[in-house]
Amino acid sequence: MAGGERGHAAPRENPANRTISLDSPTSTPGSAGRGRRRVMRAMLRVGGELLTTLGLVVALFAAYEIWGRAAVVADHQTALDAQLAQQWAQEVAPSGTDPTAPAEPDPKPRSVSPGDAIGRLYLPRLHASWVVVEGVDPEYIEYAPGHYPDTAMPGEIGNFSVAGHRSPAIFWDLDRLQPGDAVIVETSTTWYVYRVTQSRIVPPTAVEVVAPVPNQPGVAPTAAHLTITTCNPKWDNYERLVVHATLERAQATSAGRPAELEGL
Amino acid sequence: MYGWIWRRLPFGRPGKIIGSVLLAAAAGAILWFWVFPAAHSLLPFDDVQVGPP
Repeated sequence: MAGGERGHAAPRENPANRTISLDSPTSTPGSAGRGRRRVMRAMLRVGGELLTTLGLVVALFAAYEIWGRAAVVADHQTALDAQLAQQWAQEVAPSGTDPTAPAEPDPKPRSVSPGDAIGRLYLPRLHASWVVVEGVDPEYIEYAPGHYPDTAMPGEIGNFSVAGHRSPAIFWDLDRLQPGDAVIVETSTTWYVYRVTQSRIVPPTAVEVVAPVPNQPGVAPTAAHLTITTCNPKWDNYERLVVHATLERAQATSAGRPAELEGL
Repeated sequence: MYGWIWRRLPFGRPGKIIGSVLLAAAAGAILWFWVFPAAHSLLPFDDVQVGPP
């Protein structure tokens, strides 16, 4: 800048250039102005640092929502799985079920209390499975899909309905299920293989999707259905994604794992 | 702010670097294990069931 000024006499007569030269350090008004400028610079620096920090915290929170929650859910699922295995060992051992008996809907008492593990749900298409708990209040479904308490139990005539979070650890990819895909439910005695019939997006008030005959409230059921509900779209809550399925067959747990599990 | 912390960290440059990493890790851990779990429940992701309005 200084070299440029020395080299050119003509621009010096230009008023615009003279204003620039007034801003050069040699012509600052005094130490008061310099101090003010230093305070201003310090404030800007702290403000910038705070904003950068806020950005990093928000990015970290996004990472937590994806990976942190997945780890938390996986921990709780492991615990629920162990709880369920223990519960079933106690249930099955004393009675000794007949392996040749045809699979029947569990004579499960209606006295299952909220929060109890009631079975396992497998979605081979998504290579995923979860322990399902009783109840759909936020406290019960925080770490597991939950069973709507007033709907049928697995395999029963009616509509076994389950709600779960649209989180990466739970029903994140539920929209990838296609008609005909297997949905498998395991109880202490029986494997139930359902087939997806329909997948749709409904408003949050569409209670008819969990009716005994899905979408036909008041009609008496004659078949065993299954319905899964979750949030839609991802990361928001103004719609619900709903998947309906119908029971295809059932087999006793003593007859081995159903082929539809595909190594899950 | 960060400059102020940097100047106060002891034991020369290596100490300042180690101290900075430890402070950042502590801040991250507090956020991850206490603040974020508490903040999570304030988000609208818990509404997954259908129900009467």
